[in-house]
Order: sequence, then C-alpha cells, then structure tokens
Amino acid sequence: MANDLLVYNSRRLVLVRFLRAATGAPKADAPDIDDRGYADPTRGAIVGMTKGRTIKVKLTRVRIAEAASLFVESSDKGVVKVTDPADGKVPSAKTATIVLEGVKGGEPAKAKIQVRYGTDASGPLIHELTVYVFTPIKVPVTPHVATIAQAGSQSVTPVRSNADVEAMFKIVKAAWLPCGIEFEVGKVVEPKAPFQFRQAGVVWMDAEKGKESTDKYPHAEFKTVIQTDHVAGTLNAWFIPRFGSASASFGAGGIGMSRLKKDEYKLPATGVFSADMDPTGTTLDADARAHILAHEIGHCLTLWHTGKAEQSADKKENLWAHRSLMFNSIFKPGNDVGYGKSGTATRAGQLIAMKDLWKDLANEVTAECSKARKEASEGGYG
Amino acid sequence: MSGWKKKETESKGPDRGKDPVVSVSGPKKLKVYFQRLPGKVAKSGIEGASWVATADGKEISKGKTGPDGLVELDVPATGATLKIFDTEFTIKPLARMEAIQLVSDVDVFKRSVRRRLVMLGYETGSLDGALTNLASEAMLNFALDSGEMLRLGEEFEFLDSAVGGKLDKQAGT
Repeated sequence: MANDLLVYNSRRLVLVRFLRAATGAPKADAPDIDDRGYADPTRGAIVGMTKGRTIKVKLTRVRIAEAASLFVESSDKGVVKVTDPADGKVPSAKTATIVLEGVKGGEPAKAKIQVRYGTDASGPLIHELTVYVFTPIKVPVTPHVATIAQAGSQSVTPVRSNADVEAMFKIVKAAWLPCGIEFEVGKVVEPKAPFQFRQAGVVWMDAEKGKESTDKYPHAEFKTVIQTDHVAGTLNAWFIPRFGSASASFGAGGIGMSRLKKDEYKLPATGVFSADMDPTGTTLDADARAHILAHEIGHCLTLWHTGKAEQSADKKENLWAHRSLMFNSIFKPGNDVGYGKSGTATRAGQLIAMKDLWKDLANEVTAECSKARKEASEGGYG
Repeated sequence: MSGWKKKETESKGPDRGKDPVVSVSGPKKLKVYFQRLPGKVAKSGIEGASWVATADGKEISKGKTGPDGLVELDVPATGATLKIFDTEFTIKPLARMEAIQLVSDVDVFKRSVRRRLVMLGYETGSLDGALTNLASEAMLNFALDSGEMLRLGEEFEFLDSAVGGKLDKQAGT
C-alpha cells in the first residue's frame, strides 16, 4: 500500500472506514450507512438494523496495509453480535465483509462495532461503527390495483396497472428494514368495477386547462381512488397506470399522503400511490417504481423531502441530498452514489437518515428514522 | 457559481505560481495524528501504537502514541519513513500550501481546498480534476464538523462561507 504523505505542519490519518456492503437497489441484509459528520454529537458512522435480523457491512482499509492484523468485536454482545468473522480476525484484504446480528432491540438499543489493531481485543482501538438495533414495528399493507376506464366511452379499452406488487415490496421492505419497520403485505384488492374517469388509465390530479379556478388540486379523481376499498388500520397502497396533470412541472410517479396532508388537502383517507409510468407516459422500470414507492411511504410516515436546508433547486449539487431516500427525485445529476442507473440516468440513493443534522437550522427533527418510527408506531398511516 | 466573477482576482500573495511541494532547507518538525475519525475531533486519537521512524536508512526516533494518537517527527528535507500498524508511510515536508483564494487557475484553487481537507484527515481522493463523491463528502463533513452549513458540493462554496476560513486555520496548524 502506497502511503506517500506530504505534510505541511500536521496531518491526520484515519486508517479504515465502513461502507454499504452492496450496490444497486436496496438489499435486506446490506443497509446503507449514515456516515455524515464526525464531530459531537453525531460522532461517526451509524448503521440501523432490526432485532433478530442479520446484516453485513463492508470494512475498507484506507490507510493501513492489507497485511496488518485487525480485530472486530461488539462493545455490547447483548445488543449486537459479530457473527462473521466468528473469531473477530479480519481477513487480510483491501475490504472485508463483517456480518452482524441484532440481538436486542429498542428505540434503539445501541452498541459499537470496534475495530482494533492486532489479533485480539487488547490492541489499539482504531475505528468504530455505531449500530442502532430497533424493535420491529409491523405495518400491515393493503395493496390495491386500479383499472381505469374512460367515462362514457365503450370504445376505449380500460387500462389496468401492471405493477408486480410482490417484487416491488421486496425492495421496499429492504429499504425500510434499517429503521426496524417491517411491512406485512396482504392480498391485493381490486375494485369490483373499473373507475370511470376523464381518461382511460389516468388519475388526474388537477383541473383541465381553463378550469383551474373551480377544480383545485387534488382533483376529485384522486379523492375517489384514495377512499375506495380503504382498509382502516393498514397502509393502503394504490397501484395505478399513471397520473395526469395540466401542469407541465408535475412529474410524479407516486404520491404519499400522511394524516397531516390528509387534513391539509381535506382528503377522505391517507395512502400511497405508485404509477406504472410518469405523467409523460414513459414507463418506469421495476427498481424505479420500488424506489418511488419506498419514498412515498416515507411521506405517508410524515417525512418530507431531504432536510429543509437542502430542498431548493440550488441545493441539487448536494451529495448528501442525493444519497437520501427522501431526495425529491429518484435520479440525480453527477456521480453514482452506489444505487446504479435506470437506463442512462444515475439513481439517487435510499439512505434513511439516522442522524438529526439540521435541527438547529430548520427547527425540525431530521432524524428520519425516528420520525417515521413514531408515526408507524402510532398507526398514523391508516 | 455567483461568487466566481465577483471574486475572480489574481492572488497577490507570495505563493502564487509557486510549486507548493518545495523542499524545505532543513529538518521540519511535523505532527502526524492517527485518529479514529477525521478532523480535529476530541478524544479520537489512536492510543498505544508503537512506531519507529527512519531517514537515510537510520533510525531517527521511535515511541508509542498517546491519547491524541500523535507521532511527532523532525523530518529531513529528503523525507523520512514511518512504520506503524505494520504499515509504512513515506513522509515528506511540504514547505507551503496553495493560497486558499480564487486565482485565475481553477485547478490551483480546487487543490488548495482539497489539500487542506486531506491534511485534516478528510480523504478527497485526487487533489485535482472534477469533483468526486469522496471530495464532496469531505467538504460536507468538514463544514458540518465546523458547525457551518455547506449547501453546494463545490469547492467554490468555500469562498462565500465561513467554512473556508476555518479550513485554512485548522489545516495550517
């Protein structure tokens, strides 16, 4: 390992770091790591997991030789255990996979994975990863698949959503497991008859041009769908062909309505929506749809777009915003953040923040995980 | 970047145009901190690691790191080798760093920011070229750790914020 150092007066070196153990769409056993900021009170990297589950993280040697002996152990084996390497000895390689088991949950139960130089627990402590182990919160989900006909026209074929609900929720579940939120997806419910709307296959969100003053967002079609077959006490997830809007800037492939938004928009119910296509009619791939659905569920659990300080257009170069599940696009400009591509477009990340970084600036809790868990535990989604 | 043209001036400082990697005329006292976390973060030093330093094949000093993880060396102009953690570090003294102000050479400006981040342990990857995730992450982390807000992922943001001043001060000592 080349370690050529130019030093002005002083230089600081960190020998290793922890990274997400997978790339591409979320994996249930490879959570993203919230490693934003090192000074108190955030103090280094945090990974979240659910009690009773196993995850893996990647330990990367940044400034230490591959041949150097490293040892990993948990600061509290009653909370989290290192199951691989079972003897704690890290393989001599640039990167190593460390497997952790969540033993005891809480809100959260906390422990540190400590990395030591040497072959046992007596060596110098060189790095730490904080692990949050959450007690699982079960969220029952009622999926609904919509078929939409054009009202008054027999000649136009109704259009049904082609969503693969099971496949999408597999990814959605993986995205939310770091927060200890587990979705229990029930049987798909389909309305007895197709919706009779303005346009086959489309749920209009607002007025036709020229009728804006009398038909405010959200349009009656949306309100009709969100209350149809609503199952109280569950998160109602609607799968539709696509949304329509008179506004060219409306680009949503999904919508999530929390109980707060329900009141704001005078909606009859809460719920989330996932569309097969964006409003221009471009089909979204399966990963993109799952990403959007996981994002909309964040809205339903009261999360808003990534930190107030990062929301406006001129903040779109902010890497941390791009890494977030609650970034206001599933795509991002610039470099890959580890979640691959949809076609040629780089995908945004799906990190759910463990840290409350911007509280002082926005007077708002931005530790998304704890905020979403609070709403989930209160059943606000249903 | 709105602040770019407004502040586009040639540096009048003594460092302008000079190669920052200039050998010093004699030994220079250097501090290398081994830490669990980047930056000037309290109680982050790696304690209890044995080290030995050599120059021109001869041992010049050795010791064990204390609570701050510090290795302090008198490094000759030709450099020294530090062995610690079964790892070898070749250390060369840097006579000066690029002035942290916007000069007509954008690459020099970017390097001035990234070099300071690297001195503080925020790894940036390359000092030159397009902004990488690593460099962007380093800037955001430094800004947050300094109690400031850095909203863009570009080096230029340092010009319009208090972050640049803090970076210059912390990396220069």
